[in-house]
Amino acid sequence: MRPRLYLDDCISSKRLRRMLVDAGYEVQTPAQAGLTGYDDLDHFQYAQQHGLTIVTKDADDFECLHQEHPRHNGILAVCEEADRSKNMSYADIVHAIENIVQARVPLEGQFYILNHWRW
Amino acid sequence: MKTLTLKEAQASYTLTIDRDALSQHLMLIRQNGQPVGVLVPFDEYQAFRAWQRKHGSEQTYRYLVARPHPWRRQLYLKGRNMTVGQLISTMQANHLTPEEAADDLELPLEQVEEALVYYRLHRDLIESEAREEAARLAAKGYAV
Repeated sequence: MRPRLYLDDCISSKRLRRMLVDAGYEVQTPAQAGLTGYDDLDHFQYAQQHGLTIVTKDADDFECLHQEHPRHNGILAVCEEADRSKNMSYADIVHAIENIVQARVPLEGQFYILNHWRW
Repeated sequence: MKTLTLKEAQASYTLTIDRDALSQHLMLIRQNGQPVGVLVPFDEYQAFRAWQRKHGSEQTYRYLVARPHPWRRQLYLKGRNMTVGQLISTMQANHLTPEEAADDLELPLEQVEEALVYYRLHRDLIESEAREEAARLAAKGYAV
């Protein structure tokens, strides 16, 4: 079963949303939630309350939220690579999410670095 | 203030400038009737550059803003919870022009352009914060 996704404010993009929708995901954005510009905790709580898995580039901040509030529907974090030419493109992100779904790993209460899931 | 008028682009001029006189009477340079520069004593120019370096970090931005954060110091895009570094990495990873990024991320083009200027001026800070984030995650067992 595909997770319902929430694109955090730092990664929300029309192209990424379109690519994920085309890949079969239900995707919500901060604009749809009326949360554009809000703090991390607001996005986290919205996703938590609506059963959404968060996709974010704020890896460390959301890892902290994951530790403080372990009951959530999954956090998929994109990290900066030391070699900037290896940073994840939108296509890489969609592919990595697809790999996680195919692997059938649990998402609930889990924090994953998406960079590890592209192959 | 004295005025120096440049009439011919190809012509070369040799001017003898008395330093003390320049201190008393700055020299305005005009081109096509419009002021384009001012000759000032070199020590005054150096003092200005020193002031500019000291206050450069206090430059104000129209589309960027500071947000409270435990360790990040780089600016964010006003109206979005997105750092300049996150915008730049998205643009680089997806080969987006400023126009394409503005459309994709639903930002004013001027905001993207200002963020690019900020990135050029503060690249070391932005890259050090990316390394800081990786180090913090690694310390918690999440190697990137």
